[in-house]
Amino acid sequence: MALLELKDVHTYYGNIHALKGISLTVEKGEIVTLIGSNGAGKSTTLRTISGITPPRQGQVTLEGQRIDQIPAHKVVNLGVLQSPEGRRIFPRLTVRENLEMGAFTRTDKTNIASDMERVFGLFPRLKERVGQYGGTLSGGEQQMLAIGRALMGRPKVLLLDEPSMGLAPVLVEQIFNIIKDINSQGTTILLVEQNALMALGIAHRGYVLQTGQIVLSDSAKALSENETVQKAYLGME
Amino acid sequence: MGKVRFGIWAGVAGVATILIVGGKTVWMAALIVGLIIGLLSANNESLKTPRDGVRYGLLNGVAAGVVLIIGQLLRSLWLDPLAGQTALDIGIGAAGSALVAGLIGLVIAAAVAAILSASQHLAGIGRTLAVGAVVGAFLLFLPQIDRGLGLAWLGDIIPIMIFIILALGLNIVVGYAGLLDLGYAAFFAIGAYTAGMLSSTHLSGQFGSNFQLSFWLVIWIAAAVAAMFGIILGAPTLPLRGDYLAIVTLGFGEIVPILFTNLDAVDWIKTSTGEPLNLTGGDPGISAIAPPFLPIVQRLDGSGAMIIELIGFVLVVLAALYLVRRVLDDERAARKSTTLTKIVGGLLAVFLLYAFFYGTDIGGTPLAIPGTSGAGQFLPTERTPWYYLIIVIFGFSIFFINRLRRSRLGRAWMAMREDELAAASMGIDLVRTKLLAFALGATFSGFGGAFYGAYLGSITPSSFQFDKSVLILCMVILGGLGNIPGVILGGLIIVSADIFFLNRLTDLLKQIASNSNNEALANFKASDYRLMLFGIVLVIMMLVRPEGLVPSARRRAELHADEETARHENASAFDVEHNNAQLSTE
Repeated sequence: MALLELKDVHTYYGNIHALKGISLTVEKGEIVTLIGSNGAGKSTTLRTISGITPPRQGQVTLEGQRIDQIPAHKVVNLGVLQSPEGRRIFPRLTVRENLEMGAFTRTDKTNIASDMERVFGLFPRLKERVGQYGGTLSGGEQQMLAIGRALMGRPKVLLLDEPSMGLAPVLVEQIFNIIKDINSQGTTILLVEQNALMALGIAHRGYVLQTGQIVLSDSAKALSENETVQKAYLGME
Repeated sequence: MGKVRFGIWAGVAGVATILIVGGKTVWMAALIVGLIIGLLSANNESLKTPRDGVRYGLLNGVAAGVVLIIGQLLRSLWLDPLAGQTALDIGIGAAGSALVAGLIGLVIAAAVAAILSASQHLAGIGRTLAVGAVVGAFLLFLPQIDRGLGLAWLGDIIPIMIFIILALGLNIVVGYAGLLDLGYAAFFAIGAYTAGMLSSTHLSGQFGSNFQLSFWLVIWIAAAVAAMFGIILGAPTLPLRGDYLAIVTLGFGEIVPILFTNLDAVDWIKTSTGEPLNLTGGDPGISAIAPPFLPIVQRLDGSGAMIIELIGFVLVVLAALYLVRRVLDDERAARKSTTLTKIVGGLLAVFLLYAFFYGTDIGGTPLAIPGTSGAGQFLPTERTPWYYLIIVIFGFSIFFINRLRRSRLGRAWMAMREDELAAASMGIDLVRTKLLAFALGATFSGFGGAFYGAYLGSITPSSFQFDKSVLILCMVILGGLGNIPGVILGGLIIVSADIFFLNRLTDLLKQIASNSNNEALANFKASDYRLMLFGIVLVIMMLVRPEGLVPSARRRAELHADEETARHENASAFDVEHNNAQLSTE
């Protein structure tokens, strides 16, 4: 049984049919990436999984249990945590408070403390900034904070939405290395990216999304060698 | 200059009091100025040790004192003759007296400021105890001081305290949860009317009974009913944000007083005489609301004897609790009280309270229907017991709100205010969190309303109009959204301006006018300009200091994000992207 599975999911924004029957699976321990151009429905897929924009049709299951009718705050309890697009850290909360918010649904104080140490281990930068307000961090630091915050909820599946957005290339590389580390420590990751080259570089498998539908799915290696993908998303001729 | 800037400002506020009120105000002003300097020194991050605190307190207290001396000289040598009043005289002529009185004021201000700001920077529990002792002593002795100086301020202090409690409640909704509520006076009205209906014979009389509930019960019912209406208002506004929410709350604030005006003939409920039920009393409202009833009320007079008795009572309770713990706990657990000690201690405290209240006074119970016994009623003419009652409610509110702010719920409010979507993706239930903000915010207006009704003895719909909502919102914004000391200061300034300064200014101008036969001045009523004054103050505040007088660190961070970023710029040359994109655009 797949850890996370979407079956023929249709999601609408009002009358706009954003997802037109998405089916995908994420197995335990994988990094799965969703690539595609602007407006393809990548972020919508993540919002559908996390319950912020529930699907009108189809099923989302986590470990075989349906989660598509569950409100967003309860999906978090089940172990689906998201680092949202545009990071959305709490600007007037300190770095520490931001991380604590990530563990909002948890009550096991000692484990929270050790998880915070783990986050600081992954992002030493955050430890230096621990008392600083989130809004005063640089873009890269904010991205680290958003990922760290999601990790504080002990996710079974970590949903990452465009972690490379607006960051300098050297920093993107650093963030992606950390994502790989997080995965190798045992966290399953669903990664949404426009930067297909980077995403396919660290993912095990990938799906290509186009106007709300999945047009291709394969191992990351095969996708990066696929001619259509190379032309459309990797900028190769 | 920079170091004593705050002292000078506090002194100027004190001078305003001296100039407008006169008499022996200078010492009371000095005391309050000292307290304010000391209390707000907690927000000063450059002070680290009690020694820093003493220095800061002395410097600012002396600066304020100098300003107070100037004020007292102005009052004695200029305003008093102008108004035809005898200046403060301690037997050495007006000028000399003013100088000596001012100097005494300086010493008071400096001493109080130094002690309090030193206490503020003690470590750990010592801080709570020391600050509590200083502020507690001031509040306890205030009626005594007030009487000693012949000021008779209690009648103004009580409504000021009511409004500060309301402002603290609104601060939960606006400051903590970030939900703009323009109709908060509606909850105040609901609290007051609930109390009015239950503790007067207004309703029961129409059904041929004389049933009245005691204030001690009614205050909780009023809070609960207000909280319920908080949820009723909150529910339809859940999907709304910002401006839309403000408009709905504005509507609610308009509807409630109109309802209370018009629900004076409810056709579908008939009274025992067959008339339609008069639920709310219409325009004249509800009168003859029973005051609280407490057997020992006559002893709550602020006298030295009462204070000694009270301190003795507290000491006895503490000693008893300590003994219980020593006897019941084994050595290792002595630091942590077990459930058993809590129960025994609680029972003991109840017993001691009972003994305290009933030891010498026989008759009635706290829940008795007032009027069955003449003794033990809070009288409208005796303000001191009312004062102590509102102080207890105030203290309870502060304690409770402070705990709330630091609780899980408090953090959920904060996160929701920052970013609703992100908060939801952290597992925060937005519906519950929002409704609890409305409900808990309304609870405090319920307390305030119940007290207000009992204190005045009657309520009318006109006391709960839109201007009250605006007034309460002004206090929260002026003082500093989301910060308890700020909100208290804001409330103190705005309400004392509204019901104290403007009235006394009118009196003063009248005296000057009659002394100098100035027609134009005689007809000038300063209180007519109150709303204009608040408008001007708010506009100036928004331009000069949008975070309020005593902002919480978070709001300062938001409104001065550029400076904050600049401070960290050097350290974070880490990234090419501009730091502030998150704050402004996303």
